[in-house]
Amino acid sequence: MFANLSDLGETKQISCDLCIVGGGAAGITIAREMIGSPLSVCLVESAEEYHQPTQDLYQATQQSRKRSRSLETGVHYGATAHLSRIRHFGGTTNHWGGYCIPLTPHDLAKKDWMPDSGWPIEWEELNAFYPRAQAICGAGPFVYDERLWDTTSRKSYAFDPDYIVNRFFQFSPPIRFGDKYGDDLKSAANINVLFDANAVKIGLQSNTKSADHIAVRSLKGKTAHIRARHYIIACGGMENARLLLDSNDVTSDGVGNSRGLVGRYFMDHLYDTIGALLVSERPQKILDQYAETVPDKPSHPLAGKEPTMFQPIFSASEAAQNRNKAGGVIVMLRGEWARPDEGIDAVYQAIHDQNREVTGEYGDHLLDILFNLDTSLTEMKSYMQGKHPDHMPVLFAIAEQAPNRDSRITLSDQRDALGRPRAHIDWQLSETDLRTFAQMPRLLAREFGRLGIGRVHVSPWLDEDAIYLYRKDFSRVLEPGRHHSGTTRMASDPAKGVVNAECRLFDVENISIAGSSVFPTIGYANPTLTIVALALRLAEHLKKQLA
Amino acid sequence: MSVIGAGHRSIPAPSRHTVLRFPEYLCELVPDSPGVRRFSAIYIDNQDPKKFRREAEGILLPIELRSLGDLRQHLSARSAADFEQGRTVELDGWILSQTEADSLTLATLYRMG
Ligand SMILES: Cc1cc2nc3c(=O)[nH]c(=O)nc-3n(C[C@H](O)[C@H](O)[C@H](O)COP(=O)(O)OP(=O)(O)OC[C@H]3O[C@@H](n4cnc5c(N)ncnc54)[C@H](O)[C@@H]3O)c2cc1C
Repeated sequence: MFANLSDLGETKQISCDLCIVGGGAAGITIAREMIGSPLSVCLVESAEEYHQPTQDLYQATQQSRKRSRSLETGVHYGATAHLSRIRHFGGTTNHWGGYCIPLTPHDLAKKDWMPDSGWPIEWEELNAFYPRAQAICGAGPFVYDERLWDTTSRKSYAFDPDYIVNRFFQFSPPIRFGDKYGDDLKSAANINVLFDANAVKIGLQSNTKSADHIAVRSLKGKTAHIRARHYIIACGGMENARLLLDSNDVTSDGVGNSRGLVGRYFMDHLYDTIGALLVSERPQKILDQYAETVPDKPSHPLAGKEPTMFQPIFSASEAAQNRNKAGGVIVMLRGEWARPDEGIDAVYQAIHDQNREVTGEYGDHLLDILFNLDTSLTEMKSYMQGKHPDHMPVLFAIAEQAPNRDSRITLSDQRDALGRPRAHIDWQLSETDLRTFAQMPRLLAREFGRLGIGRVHVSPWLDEDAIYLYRKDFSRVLEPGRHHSGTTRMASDPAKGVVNAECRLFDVENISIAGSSVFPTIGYANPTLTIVALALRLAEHLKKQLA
Repeated sequence: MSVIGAGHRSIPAPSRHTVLRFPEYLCELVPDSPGVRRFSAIYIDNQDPKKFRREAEGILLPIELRSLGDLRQHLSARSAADFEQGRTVELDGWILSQTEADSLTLATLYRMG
């Protein structure tokens, strides 16, 4: 059933077995799993459809940083914070890109050189739910290996697996969770979806060990309490932390925060151009090989009635990550034909003298040199003759941000229209993140050079000479992936996390958390497939527990 | 910038013909362009040109050099091996094999006389 808080008249209290706060990918998945169960469920959601004043509740403030003239090309997180999540039914899937890819066992492993890494669950526990998560996300069968190459007319390169391995994206159309699954929830007898209901406080019982209610409020001022046996907070990676922190009338640090960890370890994927590739063959050939594509043979694992598009990508092998003490990173080729790094020439000039010529200009001379020196490059010569030399596919990377205790979401001193403190973002990166990026052009250069595929030009911001400029604040040049994670991290030890391996708060026995805020590390994989897999796991667990 | 590798010359020594033709062939392969001069200048950095020349010749000279094609094959194979063994240098953002960097710098030195 669907209802609006404002239409509930005098009702001040709603009782149910399970209250889910937030109807995005995680909340909707869990609610659907409860359909037909003996449990009564109330899913509270800010808005049924896009509504600007509701969306504005997501405005956030952020840590101000000094701006230096030579580094003005950087993307400040705050500029996009309110656009990086969507506050109505379906949540941020209302504008997600549909990229699906699982985490790997390596992503979940504890690495000595990455402090605070290591999930408290085995990869097999995720793997058990990935196939169903695929279907829910609108992707194809759970196949992400070389079978996706083997059955197409494309050919992989013979990369040395100690350096580069192929990985793959699958693409959802992309489905919008609210549109796709709304009717299932609307027609379910045991599910009650309550719109215009913004959770504003988690009310704890006086013993602080369990929750008593969730207070909800509409923008028009109507309030109610939802009382349940169990609560799931599924408001997204920033908002989960904000709601816990702001529920501070019984415990002054907020709910679930006895160790001061709520909001810490805020992570996101890091996006940036890391270089360009001077290709030995017709550039379009490698671009086609690594482009988004539909399965072109009936025997392809992703063919079928509704074929799923997929895309091969380059990734740093696990061995390379371990050698480099760096995180996971993938690279897509972009055929933008743009000269690499036009935007950050200013940085280059800041390092060297003001009159230094633009780096990319020497691409044509390099071509001459390489044509003559390398027999494998002759095919390129004939193609490129008479063409502009800057036509190089761009290497675009998506990198893992390593856990960082100082990177955090706190409460702002500004308030939203409901009188709640806004989220305050202090996004901080580390040396490990820099290494994660810096390894990739070098790994690709080795393999592309060895196989005669081409030569790599490293973006100036990753140049060995330039890198020191970014040590303190290189977040300025990077774009965040808008995959907010880590703020209520999962751990086996209460001293190291906010939720346990079942995603339940260590401090409060009847509150669980869903979404990427529980990820202790994020790999390079876009999060939604894993969010949905974990949501399925949590639903299965709670169905048993509450039965 | 990186220094060139130590001269791990193979034995036996190149023939006299090879030693004589090598500079000529190399200059034919490496174009005389501002780009080459620029890469060379960065690569040689503050090293003594004579010493560089001696060491680079030690590394690059093939045992037998009958034609320009021979030299191309030789340098091309060396380049691939360099990449495989991590003997790369970064010049102006480009990641090149040490053979490539040595070749273009040596050609520039030959032209300078
Ligand atoms: C531009 C963009 C592109 C993306 N592309 C991809 C992609 O290609 N692949 C991928 O895997 N991921 C992608 N993502 C990330 C993806 O959208 C999120 O990972 C996913 O939607 C998170 O699911 P969630 O349920 O945790 O949170 P959300 O989907 O954000 O849902 C949270 C829900 O909680 C509600 N809510 C919040 N606060 C309250 C409150 N106080 N009271 C009541 N309700 C509340 C919101 O209205 C919302 O419906 C993208 C994100 C962005 C911004």
